[in-house]
Amino acid sequence: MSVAQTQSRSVLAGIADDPLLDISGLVVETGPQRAPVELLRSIELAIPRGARVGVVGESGSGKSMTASAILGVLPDGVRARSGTIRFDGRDLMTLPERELRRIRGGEISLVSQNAVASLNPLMTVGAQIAKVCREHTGVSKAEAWARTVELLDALGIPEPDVRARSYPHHFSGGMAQRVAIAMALICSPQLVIADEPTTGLDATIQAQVLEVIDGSVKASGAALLLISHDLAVVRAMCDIVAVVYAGSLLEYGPADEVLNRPLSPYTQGLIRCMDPPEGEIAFIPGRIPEPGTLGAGCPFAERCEQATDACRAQQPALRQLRPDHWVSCHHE
Amino acid sequence: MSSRVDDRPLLELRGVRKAFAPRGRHARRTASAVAAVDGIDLALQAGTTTALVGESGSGKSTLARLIVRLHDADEGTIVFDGQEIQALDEKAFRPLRRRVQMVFQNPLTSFDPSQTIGASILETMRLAPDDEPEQERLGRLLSEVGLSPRFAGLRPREMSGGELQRAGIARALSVRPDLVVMDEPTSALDMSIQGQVLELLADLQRRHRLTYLLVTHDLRAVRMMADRVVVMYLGQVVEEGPTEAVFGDPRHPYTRGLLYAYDLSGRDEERDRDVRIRGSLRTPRPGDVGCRLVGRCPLSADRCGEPQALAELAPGHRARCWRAAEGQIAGDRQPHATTDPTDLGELT
Amino acid sequence: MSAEPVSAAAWTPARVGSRLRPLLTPYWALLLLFALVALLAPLIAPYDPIQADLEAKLLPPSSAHLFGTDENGMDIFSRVLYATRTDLVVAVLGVAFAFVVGVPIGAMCGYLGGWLDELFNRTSEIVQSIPLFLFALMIFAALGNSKTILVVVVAIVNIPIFLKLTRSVVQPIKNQDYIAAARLAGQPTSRIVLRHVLPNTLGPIVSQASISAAYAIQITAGLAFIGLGVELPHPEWGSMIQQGAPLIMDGDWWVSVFPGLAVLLAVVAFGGIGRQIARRYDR
Repeated sequence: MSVAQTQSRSVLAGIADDPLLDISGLVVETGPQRAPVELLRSIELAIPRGARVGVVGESGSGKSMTASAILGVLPDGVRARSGTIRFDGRDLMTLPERELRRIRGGEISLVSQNAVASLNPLMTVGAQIAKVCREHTGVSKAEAWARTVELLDALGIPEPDVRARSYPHHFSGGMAQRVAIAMALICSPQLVIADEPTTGLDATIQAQVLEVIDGSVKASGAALLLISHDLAVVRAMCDIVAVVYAGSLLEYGPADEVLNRPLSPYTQGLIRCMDPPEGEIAFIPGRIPEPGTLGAGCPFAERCEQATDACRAQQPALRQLRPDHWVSCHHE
Repeated sequence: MSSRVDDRPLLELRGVRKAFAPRGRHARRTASAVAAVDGIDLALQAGTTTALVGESGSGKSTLARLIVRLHDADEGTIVFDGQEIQALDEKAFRPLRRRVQMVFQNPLTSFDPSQTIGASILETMRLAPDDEPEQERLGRLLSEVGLSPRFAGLRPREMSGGELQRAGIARALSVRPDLVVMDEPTSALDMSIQGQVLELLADLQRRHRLTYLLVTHDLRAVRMMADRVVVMYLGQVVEEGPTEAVFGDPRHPYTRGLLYAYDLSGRDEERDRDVRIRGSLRTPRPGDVGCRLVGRCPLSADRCGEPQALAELAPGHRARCWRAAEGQIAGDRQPHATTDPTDLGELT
Repeated sequence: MSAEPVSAAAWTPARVGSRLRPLLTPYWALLLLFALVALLAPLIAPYDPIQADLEAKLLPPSSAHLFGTDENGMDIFSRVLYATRTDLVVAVLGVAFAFVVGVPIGAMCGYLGGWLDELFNRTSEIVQSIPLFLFALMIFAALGNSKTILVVVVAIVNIPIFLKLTRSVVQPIKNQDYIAAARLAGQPTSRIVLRHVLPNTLGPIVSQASISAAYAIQITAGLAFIGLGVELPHPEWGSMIQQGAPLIMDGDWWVSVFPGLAVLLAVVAFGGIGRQIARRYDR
């Protein structure tokens, strides 16, 4: 059930002066017009300038769909029905494709899960990165190439001028991700979206790649939107955490607050799963709801041990129970 | 269940080796000298859970498949309940199939999409027929894993990941095996669901006195379930021992590095220098006989170029590193290593 | 709910039918029409197709002769109807034979690999490298010119196609976990291929079958055009087109055009069905 937002700014925008990005009341649906299936149910989000916001959620939470909505690349058959996505003063939902294309790669860039798959296999990595650079900044070929090599070097790729002339399939997991990160950073965007950037990588490589993201984002001053199903990754990398479940935002606040003093029973459950107490096998009973099967109440009510009739009847509004710490829950 | 006289291990591997022939000209030229599984010794005691831990290229999945005889080993012996099985042909091995079963990683591909779940489970179940009517037995199996018997008529695409994993467990247990090999049983599941499946597995183990071999990269699951841990790297065992010992007091630099890599929030400069595993997998060339971690290990030295043996450091706790054997490496759970920094030798 | 295992036969009419039912379209209607014509030709055809009537040579289409008559005074409409039996039967039989031989071998090659795979691959390549008509000539020269041999030619030409296609769709499946599970259940290779591999690969293969049928009609027509396969005066679309070709210049267009249209429609029907099935599997 969507909650129509009449104001265009997210309630979460209060977390900082003039946030870089704020999403308010975003509803994304799929399926036939008269019987739509909601994938994002009036979701909220705010990303202050230069901040690192982590969005953590399981399958069906809508976390990746949110990234697609921001970039304006929702899949076929999926549409954003209402809401606003304000980026640097502009509502991305109202911009024409031409404008969005300029923003993509230039002001908002994406590092996705399987880097090699998102690179053109027929072009050398250097050529691809330099091309993106030229297209968005208009510098000369030589200048673009120089910047590319410099960036690859900064990201820890050995012999960057040689490797820049290699093709994507020559790079293994961790190195390929660095190439993807270079592609995302070459135009010094204001916001980098990293969607499960290390999922599928070995633990030792994952640690390296996260460090690279950490260092390079810090150095460039860009804001980071890190999307992950792994709470541990979000905990290590982000200063603000947003917890999403079945298309709704359940909790949002500074990482320290959300992870150490969680307000939402779902967050509490996830934290217990991440760090189970000694000798205990932690889980949340029940199964994750399919999109389109949810009723009017809180999406987590079915699995929540504190659920009451009120929870099942009405979706709780996002309330600021502590300074800068919002939760969607009927309980205190 | 067989009756076993002494407490010899249920499963014992000695010197097991398996190499995959490289295909294609390019692959042959750049082929590694190292077999996927390169001389593994392993012993599983009945009723216990042993975890095989490692990253890609470690050989843990290949080893799992060798144990269930999906592949044949090139060398070595595999002894199951006192019987050598590595040389048996499929026909001779078939009667033993009901004693060793597997649960697979990806719930979406572990069942034939063109059949119902019930049909798939029945196929395995028929390895061990008994007096109970099939349909009843099927219903009972499903209930035991927390699924309603009506799931028997569903197809894989109509079920969630967690439900399919439960069905996979039901299938493996349908023949009342002694040993269940699990290849990443929860890695494809959501975080809040993983524990459900692990809890179910623990419960079933208690009830049926099963032996588990848990192949996984999820150290949380290992901590929760495993009695023993075997850490593998590039086809070899680098450390093994009781879980608390290996995780609490890791002796091999790779184990330390792996635990450090998992501890994403526990970064500090000192540990970064002494513990972090650098770079990426390097496949050794023909003629390389030493430690395979050379070049990635923060403690590499010349002596690492010699063949390293698996040395017993404490009862049941072994590591393949000369430094560990000499007691140079103490556990790395605290930010400050207790070894004398000057003992760490030359760093290459 | 029944938990009975699925029947072992992978392609019983019921299973194939249930998969194809959602695809009812004009193409199927067309095919059905052709099948009916083939079946009922003796009842529908107004004239005996091989009855010559030299009084009625080269008459243009009229109410007496819907498609006109040819040089021998034979009614073209009746000949086109009867020819449906020949062309359709050859196409369907030839493809069926190629399917029954090529698919299981291709499945075994794809699943087992090794020397078996090498052997059949090389053989297929050799067969496919021989130009079609040359190949047909060789076979007809060796075995005689008849409708049966025509079916054999169509079959042999299509076997490598089915073999390679099946092989290529089987290979990605053989490493799936459910195949491993079947092995762990002690299933022999033949049962695994029949029960688990083929049912999951039938889509592209069935789609290929209809495309091959379309192709087979063209082969039949083409071979008859050069005098191989069907002997005159038995009606067959290709030979009818051949007979009528020189007559077009004289303005007697109907002798070639009507059989030509029949070929076109049959090819469209088969090809359309094949493409639909392929589309369904691409999704």
